Amino acid sequence: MILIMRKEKEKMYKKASLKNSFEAYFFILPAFVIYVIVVLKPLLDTIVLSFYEWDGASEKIFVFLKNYQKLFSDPIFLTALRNNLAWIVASIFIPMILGLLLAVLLWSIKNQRIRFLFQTSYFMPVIPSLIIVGIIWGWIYNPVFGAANKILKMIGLGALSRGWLGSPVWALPSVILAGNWTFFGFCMTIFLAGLQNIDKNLFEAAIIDGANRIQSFRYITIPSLRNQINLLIIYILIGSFKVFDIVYVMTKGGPFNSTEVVGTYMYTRAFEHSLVGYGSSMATILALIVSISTLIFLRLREEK
Amino acid sequence: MNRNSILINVGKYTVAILFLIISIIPFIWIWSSAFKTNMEISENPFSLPKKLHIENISEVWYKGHFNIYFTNSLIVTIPNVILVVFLSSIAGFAFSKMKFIGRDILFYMFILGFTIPVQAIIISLFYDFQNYGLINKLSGLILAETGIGLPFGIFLMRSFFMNLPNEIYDAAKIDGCSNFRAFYSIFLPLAKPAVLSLVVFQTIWSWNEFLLALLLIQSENLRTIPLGLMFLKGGRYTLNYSQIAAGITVVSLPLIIVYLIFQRTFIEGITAGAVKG
Repeated sequence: MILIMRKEKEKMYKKASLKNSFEAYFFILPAFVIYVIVVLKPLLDTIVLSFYEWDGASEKIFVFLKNYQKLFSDPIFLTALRNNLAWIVASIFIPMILGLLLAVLLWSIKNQRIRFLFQTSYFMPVIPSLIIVGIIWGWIYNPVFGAANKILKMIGLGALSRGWLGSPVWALPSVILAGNWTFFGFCMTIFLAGLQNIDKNLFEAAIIDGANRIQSFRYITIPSLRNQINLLIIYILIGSFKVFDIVYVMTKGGPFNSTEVVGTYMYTRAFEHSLVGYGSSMATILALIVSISTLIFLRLREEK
Repeated sequence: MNRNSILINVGKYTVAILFLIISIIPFIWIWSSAFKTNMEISENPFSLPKKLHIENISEVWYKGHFNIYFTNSLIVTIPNVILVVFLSSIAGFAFSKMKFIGRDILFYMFILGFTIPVQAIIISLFYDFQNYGLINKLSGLILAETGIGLPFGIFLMRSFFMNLPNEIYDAAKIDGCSNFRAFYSIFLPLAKPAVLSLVVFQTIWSWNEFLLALLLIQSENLRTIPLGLMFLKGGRYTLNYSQIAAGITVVSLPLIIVYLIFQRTFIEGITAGAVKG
């Protein structure tokens, strides 16, 4: 009797699971169809295209790895890659460390309202599109009326003023700084959320043990924020390889390709010079780098 | 000791206020420039406008076609957010609560998309959309933004539903609820915080999206706001500064006001999407 009941139950479960399968597919189907059309198929097509020479209109010519060989001896591509790396290093050293210091500073402000007022302000540059940010910073760097030169003159360093975005040496740091402006408030918010989870008793215990501020920062705060630091570093890794909008609006990669990043160079080659296969090989390299970085990021996130 | 702590406090607030100024002054500069003439901007860039040239704003809104760009941005963003939120919720629910064959493989396929930068797909996407007749159509832009938004949405909604106890699902099934009913009347209302985060994240992302619009939209009357701003700016040597400032103001001032009203929701929504940039 019991055996029959159990069999009955198993049958029911199996049946439900099969029925569930169809229902579940039905739930996922609309998302999946759109996803395949927009992401999956173009991704695979781009990888295939990277083995061809194509101008977008005439017959495709299979060249296998030739695009990749050309790519790694193309000085502009190597500059672009190096600029992406500079973007990563700068974003770790400027907005992330600044965000950490500001988070600790705000955390020590006990008045919740004042603390939140500061947080809201620091987060403001995160909100508008990078096109807006790029135009505003283009004004700041303007050689005629820009704030950058005026401020230098005000503090007696007028000799340093220059056309920032017109100089092959200074254009890249100038664009990166504008990008960093939109990011430090983001880092600060992530760190502040992390700080709020630290057990306050740890700090009290440290004070009883005679630790000073710097020691408790070094031995309690930093280790407790390890997850946030890892998260942001991988986030910077991904974000810095994806950079496009702000460079496109501020310099279009110039002057003399000095601010070129992989995103802008790929766009120019594929769509303005009609080197579709060549552009696709850059896209493939980019996808590879970013996917690997993101997978590491997701692993860290799961561990949290 | 007491003097020391006062000094520390003064230093602390000086730094905090300095960065507050750095964060908001560039906005205020551009907004005030929107009410000046070109001459004033280049001669007295930091003074307040002598006379409020409100006509700059109406000029950029009507003659500069920002009324059209604004409408286009709404036409793209609203359906995009609705589609992403609804389709991700229902798929996220299936991935977290229902048992079916091939669940993990399908989920990993979506996760793959979540790790792919937009630049990696735009070349083929452009030629595909050309074949489908979706170039230079707002519907094409909506479709593209939806496909790119889905992987993150599904990831977020699935994680949220996974944290809800399975017992709720089992109880609903025992009471004879269909799966859709369980999703729609039980799980979706419980997922309000996650849905809110996703709405904010996707709205900001779609509203600010530039690369896809640059690629897929060619007609002037179909431009979205970021595209309109880009073409208003034109070359680096365009001299119509008050028009540019006015364009930025009509776009960014309302956005910042909405942000200031819903600060917490914005900050939570955007940082919840920390993976996608």
